[in-house]
Amino acid sequence: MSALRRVAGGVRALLHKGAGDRELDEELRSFAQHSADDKLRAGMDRPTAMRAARVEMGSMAAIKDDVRDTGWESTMESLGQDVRYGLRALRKSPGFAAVAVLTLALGIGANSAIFTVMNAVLLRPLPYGNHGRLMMLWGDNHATGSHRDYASMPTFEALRARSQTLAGVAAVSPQWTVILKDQAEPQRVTAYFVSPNFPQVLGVTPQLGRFFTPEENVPGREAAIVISHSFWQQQLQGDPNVLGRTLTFDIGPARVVGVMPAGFQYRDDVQLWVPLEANPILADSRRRTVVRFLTLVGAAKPGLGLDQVQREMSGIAAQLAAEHPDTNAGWGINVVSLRDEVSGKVKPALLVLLAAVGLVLLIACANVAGLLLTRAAARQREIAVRRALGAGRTRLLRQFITESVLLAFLGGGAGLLLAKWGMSLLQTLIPPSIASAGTARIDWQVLAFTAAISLLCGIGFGIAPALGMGANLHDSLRSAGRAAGSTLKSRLRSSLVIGEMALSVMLLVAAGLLIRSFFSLLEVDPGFRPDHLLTLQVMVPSGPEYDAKYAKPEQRVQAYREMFQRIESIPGVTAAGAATRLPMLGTLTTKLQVEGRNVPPGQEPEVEFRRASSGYFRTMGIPTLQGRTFNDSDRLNTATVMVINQEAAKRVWPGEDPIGKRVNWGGSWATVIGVVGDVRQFGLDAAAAPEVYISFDQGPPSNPLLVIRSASDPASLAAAVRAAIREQEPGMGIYGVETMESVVSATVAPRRVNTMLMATFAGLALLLAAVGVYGLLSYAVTQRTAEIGVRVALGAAQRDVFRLVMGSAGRLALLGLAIGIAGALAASRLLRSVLFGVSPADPLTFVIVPLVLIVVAFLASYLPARRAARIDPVVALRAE
Amino acid sequence: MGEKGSGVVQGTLDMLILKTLALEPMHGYGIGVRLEQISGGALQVNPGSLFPAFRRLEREGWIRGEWRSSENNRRARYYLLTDSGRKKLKAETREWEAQTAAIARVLRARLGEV
Repeated sequence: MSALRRVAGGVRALLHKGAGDRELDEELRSFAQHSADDKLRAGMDRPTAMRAARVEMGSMAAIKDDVRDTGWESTMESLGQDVRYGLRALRKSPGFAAVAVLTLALGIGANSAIFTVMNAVLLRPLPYGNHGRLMMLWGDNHATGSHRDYASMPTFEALRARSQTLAGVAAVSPQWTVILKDQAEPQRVTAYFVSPNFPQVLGVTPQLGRFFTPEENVPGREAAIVISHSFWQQQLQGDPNVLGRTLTFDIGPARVVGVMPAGFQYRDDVQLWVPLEANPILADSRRRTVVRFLTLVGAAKPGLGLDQVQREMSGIAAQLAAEHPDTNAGWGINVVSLRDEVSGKVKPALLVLLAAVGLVLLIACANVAGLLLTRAAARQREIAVRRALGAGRTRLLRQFITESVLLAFLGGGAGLLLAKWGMSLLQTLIPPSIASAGTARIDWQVLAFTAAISLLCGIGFGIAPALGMGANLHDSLRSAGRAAGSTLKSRLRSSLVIGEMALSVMLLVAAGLLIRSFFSLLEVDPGFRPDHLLTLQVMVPSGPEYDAKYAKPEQRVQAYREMFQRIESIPGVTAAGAATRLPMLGTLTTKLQVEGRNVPPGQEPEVEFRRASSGYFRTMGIPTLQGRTFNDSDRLNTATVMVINQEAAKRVWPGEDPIGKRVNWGGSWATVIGVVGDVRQFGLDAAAAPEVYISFDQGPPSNPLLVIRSASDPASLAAAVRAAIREQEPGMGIYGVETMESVVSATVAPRRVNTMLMATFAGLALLLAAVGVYGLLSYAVTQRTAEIGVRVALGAAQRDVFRLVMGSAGRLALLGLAIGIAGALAASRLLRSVLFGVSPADPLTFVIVPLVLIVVAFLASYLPARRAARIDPVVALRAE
Repeated sequence: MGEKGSGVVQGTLDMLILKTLALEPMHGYGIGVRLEQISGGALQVNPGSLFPAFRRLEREGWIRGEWRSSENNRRARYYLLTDSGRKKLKAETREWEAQTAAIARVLRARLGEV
């Protein structure tokens, strides 16, 4: 209430400033008259009484000032004055203003940019109603040490029935590819099979229609499906009567019952949500109980945390292991918050980048502090005059801080523009699983963050020079412009040089380590030759008119043989092959029961599994190490054969010859015929896992990935390959035509962006530090002109003066270097999680970085030192 | 700013002005004189402290100013205590008494009583 009154009073006072002033004048005059009246009565004569009254009152102007100072509006008013004055002062020295604003723009802009990504990935709530309570319930496989494994249907059902801490659990299949056959050309569509409670668990509702009900969660019949907004808009042209529309897929017809909101995405960006029970795996009663293919997501009951859920899940997992030892022994449940699940991988990299831009900002601030220090020296006489005219020290301090905060805000504004400019690059840092919701954009949080760091910087770099200002009024009036600089100031200057050097060392070391990591990543042998390889996926058409041609496996074997022949006959193609999955992306595993070994169920070795054509290994450039790979003698009616990789040979048959051994995989027997080299299945930074290959011809898939080796640029072959396939079968679906090199480079893209950003920031830091050190040393030389003049007059040679300046600069630089190296050694341990193939104390980096900095420091101090050496003693001393 | 050398305990000037005005409406000079008289000359408040205090109290709504003609027939700005000012004075007085009593007890305390 009274606060409100104060505000109102202040506003009134501002609006009626003139009237209030006049009233106060009159009141003060009346006061003086009453005082004089009293004195008259006491016997003074009129002039004496008037004079005495005036003297007693003191300065009217001072009283009026005091009265004005009582309200908040006066603070605002003087702030306004300060800002106006500050702007005028900046306009008067545009060079200084431009350099300072640009420096700050770089420093603050880098921070705003990285914060924008942080905000999108780590801070902004996930776009689900239950975002804070969502948790992934992963299978925790004690035998293989995999903490993020799939769950089986019985486990899902048990969790739903038994959990007391979860309000709901939904099951989601892996991303499934289905074919939409309604269009002229069959379309590949991605889908999740989900339990009907999926939207309730996440806390989302369809934009149109509804989600399918538990009654609709049944196999066989026309499935009730929900489609994504983009699928509705793009594939169905935004059909307003989409609800109830029937679509034909390769897995059968489906009826659209709902459309999800635009931008909705849960993990993969799929286009369909299909009832879980319609999944073919669940149709078979044996597979239903043993196949682990579900990811489970649960919403904790309000108020319950991850720890409580984890405790309960561990308990239930133990019960299940006791009840069903055949399927659940050795399995736990690993609860991970959905937030960590989606951002876990990028979090360390982002934190490293945030630390880096923080250091850049510190250097920028040190630079601006140095600039202000120089400027304060030049303004000493102005300050002294203002103090002599009655400006208080606090008032002047406020003026200084206002000016530096003003600078910081100008820098922050320009920085936001820089950040906006870099936004598209930063978007690649955001994991695809939240890409649609987590776009990097400048929102009010980013604005608030930028404003906050601008304010902080403004106060931070403004206060240091301001404190050193005009401690002694007389001194500064007399000696303005030629003071040798107080010890406080020169100490401040030295620490700025040392600090800038140290911070640059740390940043450069971090950047150096990341660059080395990136190159050692590129040097990793992927296990195949990605150059001159084209890849694409084909989809054998299905439906009444095609089933006669392709439904039988032997028909497909024949069709693929013909396809390979046609492609290999294209000029420029040297080899062609196919497999069910490409390296680097994705995984499917199977368990191996080795003949003659009695491994308890659930403990069998788990291996990656691919089907490959006879030409696959040759085309990919995967070397055959032992035995043979597939050839035309491996047919549907001959014994199943298996090729394994080196890792599988080492793990499954340590010290034995695997050739000729028999294994059971997923229920059928196969004989190992050869060993091939390891291929990185999950990206360059993950070691190769054991893997087995089964021949294409002994179980041809309907949507293989083709690999085609060319003599020339593989991309130029795309049209010819497409034409060759269409010539054989016009209805054949063709998707995802890409060069293998772009597939590989996509897997290292986030790391490349990371490294590039880090290198940019380090370069920025180096540049800023060089400019800053140069500026500070030049200033020191200017301050010491008189002293150097005296030295020269007393007989010091140019060489001595040069050495003097270089020496003092060198000492500071070396001290900074030492501190920086120590800091980098300590900090690089924190980098360990983002490094690859390089030690945090990598000797090469720790040698090159200091060398670079020594060169930079030398260059930065060379010019000021040369200027000092050329000081003419006559000029220097006359300037006194 | 503040009560420079007035002999008035920091922060009590507001209370004293309110008390003076509780007796009758008064103009600025009169308030100063009245404070000096009542205190037997112990409190001398200069205009540099009085006027900011008037402005402050007026902002808070505890006093109200109006122009009247004074006892020696001059125009003067008289200050009147408002209702909320009266309440404030009561509260301040109670607070003051409680405090001074407490301080007095402390000052009187002998070792045996602690």
